[in-house]
Amino acid sequence: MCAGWGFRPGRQAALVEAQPLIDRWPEAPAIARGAGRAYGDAALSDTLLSTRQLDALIAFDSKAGTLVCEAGLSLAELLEVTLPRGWILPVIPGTRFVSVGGAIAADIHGKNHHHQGAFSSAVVWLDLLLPGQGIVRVEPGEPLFLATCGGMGLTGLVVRVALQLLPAASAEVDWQRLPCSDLEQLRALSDKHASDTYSVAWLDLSGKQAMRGGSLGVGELADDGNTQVKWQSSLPLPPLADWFVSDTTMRLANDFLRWREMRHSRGRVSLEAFFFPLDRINRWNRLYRRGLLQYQFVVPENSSSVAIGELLDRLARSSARPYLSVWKRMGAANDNWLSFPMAGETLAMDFPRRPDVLKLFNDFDSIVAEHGGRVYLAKDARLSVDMFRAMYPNWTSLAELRESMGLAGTVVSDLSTRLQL
Amino acid sequence: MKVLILGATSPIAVATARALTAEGASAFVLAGRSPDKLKRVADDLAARFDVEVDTSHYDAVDWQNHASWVADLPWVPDAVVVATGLLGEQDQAQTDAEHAQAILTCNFNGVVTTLEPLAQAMQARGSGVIGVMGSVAGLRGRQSNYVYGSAKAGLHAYLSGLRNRLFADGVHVTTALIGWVRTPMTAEFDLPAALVSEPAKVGQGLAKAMVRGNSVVYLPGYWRLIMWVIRSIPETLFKRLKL
Ligand SMILES: Cc1cc2nc3c(=O)[nH]c(=O)nc-3n(C[C@H](O)[C@H](O)[C@H](O)COP(=O)(O)OP(=O)(O)OC[C@H]3O[C@@H](n4cnc5c(N)ncnc54)[C@H](O)[C@@H]3O)c2cc1C
Ligand SMILES: NC(=O)c1ccc[n+]([C@@H]2O[C@H](COP(=O)([O-])OP(=O)(O)OC[C@H]3O[C@@H](n4cnc5c(N)ncnc54)[C@H](OP(=O)(O)O)[C@@H]3O)[C@@H](O)[C@H]2O)c1
Repeated sequence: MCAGWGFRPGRQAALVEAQPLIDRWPEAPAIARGAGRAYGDAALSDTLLSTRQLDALIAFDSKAGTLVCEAGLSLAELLEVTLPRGWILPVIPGTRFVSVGGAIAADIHGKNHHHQGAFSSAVVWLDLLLPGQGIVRVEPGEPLFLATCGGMGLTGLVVRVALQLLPAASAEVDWQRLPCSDLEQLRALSDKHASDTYSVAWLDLSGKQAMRGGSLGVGELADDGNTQVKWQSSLPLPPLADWFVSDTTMRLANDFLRWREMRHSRGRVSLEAFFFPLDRINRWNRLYRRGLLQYQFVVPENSSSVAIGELLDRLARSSARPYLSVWKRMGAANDNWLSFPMAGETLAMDFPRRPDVLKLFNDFDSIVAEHGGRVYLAKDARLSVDMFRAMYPNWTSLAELRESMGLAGTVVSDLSTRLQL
Repeated sequence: MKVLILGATSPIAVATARALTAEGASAFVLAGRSPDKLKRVADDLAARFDVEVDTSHYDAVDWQNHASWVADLPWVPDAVVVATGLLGEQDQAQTDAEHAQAILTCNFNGVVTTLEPLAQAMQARGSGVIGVMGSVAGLRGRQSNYVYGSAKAGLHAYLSGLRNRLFADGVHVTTALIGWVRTPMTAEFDLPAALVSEPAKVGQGLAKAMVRGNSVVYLPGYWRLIMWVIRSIPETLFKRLKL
């Protein structure tokens, strides 16, 4: 049984290991699979072309900060090599287990999106394996680049990548937590700290009212020269932990978090504590044994407060509550056809999979689309074709490219089937 | 520490090499048949760590040249890792003598003719460690892979003798009895996922065992228990089983 990070949908699939010197697409329709951290059906298909053996570094120039690697390398291993020599990934997501290929395919964003943009901004070139055509080198600006970054694997297999890293004088972060009681306050705080490099907010939406509180976390890379990377070993989930997960216990968990998060605090913390707090627990997603649904959307700046207000009103009228909610102000969009970020506000909410939640998400879709926003495909498992087309008007470019290059019948995922790409 | 790796394109060998850098390895010679695959592994090691890496063409079958090949190495290694191995097709080996020969040579004969000149040089210097990838398949022959298994069994006996001989001269020999690992060798099989290990874990285990000077290790350790059970089945019963 194969599934994304959210467990459902799951399905039988043939797993084919992409061999290190791979130069041919498999016979059957297939999709690339990296570390399996996308939540929904993006990396599901009859045949999965796994990149876990494609984990070699090819070259690292520690003077210029350029790195060439295979696409199955995890961001964790990458940082282990580059940080001690003074270089950091420009874009770091919420888990270190993501593969470089997956980071490109979802054109991921980090806590510094408002300054740095998405992952593709660090890509110097990439080698793409196309069915029937072998490997082609793709550079920024080319149509295949615009299609591949954010394209959820639908242009073929990214085999090798060259990245430009940023200088870093430490593997630690000077961090500050600023409590807030509502979105108004949060936005004001966020404006005040707009120049801080990293910033992201935790919200408590687990109560009856729309928002019970929250906090903005901001950080700067330290400059103490301590560049050694050490990951704490991750703790296993206690057996049967999932039995204790319910709306009530998760509200209590949020109460606890609020008690902690609502106090101003600052300090110097490890890279892991700042960027990857969830990685401390091994496969925490198993808490959601019946499935985990995340709703992450972004809405444009000019209508963000209205849109999020409407969405939270709709949430308040529902019986479902998110167990974990994360907010961030995003920087400008890029030109990639299916890239998620746009200048505005993004909110990600984790829910247990239930029928009422699925209904709620459909209503969310209407609000988000109406305000010109979109849902993040890396987290999605259920968006409808119509909504997708409304949210990603450039879908036509990708569909045309796939048609003209003969990819529509060979590079296929459950996501591409669902969204008719 | 200067390290020679035979069969360096094996993912377990790659993991062992990475783990040995943490134990002080500073120079590698990666030996194997495919220049492209070797270059990939060499580039990776050189990019990850501050180490010197060379590659060298080596074929386990080429026994006439093993002694001169060893003599041509840039140095006498402090550590040797042997990862060469060929599982082959049991069915084919039963009818195709050339294939049976290839399995025996790659897993056993070729290791003997390469390790002998290496052992001599290390013995003369009076230090070093040799880590060899054996297999739990060599602990009891089964119909599904006994040509491979018997070659590994021969290898285990050979290593035990070699360890005995070199002990007095300060050269260690580590035999790794390896269980199922997710590598190209096992890619075709539908193995019970819970019993298949990651190459990284096995490589780290081998590197540690070599540095500690362990003689025989099971990797991962739980295979000791599994093989104890399998070995204690009486032959009269065992011969009736479909294994
Ligand atoms: C705890 C957690 C926190 C997260 N935090 C963030 C975050 O902060 N920001 C953010 O943007 N995302 C975040 N994500 C989402 C994650 O970064 C993306 O889903 C990413 O795509 C996962 O990469 P992967 O290697 O696991 O790919 P998979 O999940 O295996 O695949 C995801 C997609 O990438 C494609 N793909 C994978 N490898 C290749 C390749 N070599 N060539 C072509 N296509 C490929 C697949 O076909 C699929 O469409 C988070 C996920 C989790 C579980
Ligand atoms: N995977 C398992 O489950 C498992 C279990 C127990 C023991 N082992 C043992 O672990 C070792 C490593 O195996 P692996 O699983 O990593 O498989 P692998 O990737 O197939 O590695 C085998 C290595 O041997 C090399 N080789 C094969 N024939 C050769 C020859 N004639 N001359 C020189 N080199 C030759 C291969 O080189 P090429 O790249 O040129 O083919 C490759 O580097 C083997 O000894 C194997 O028997 C593996």
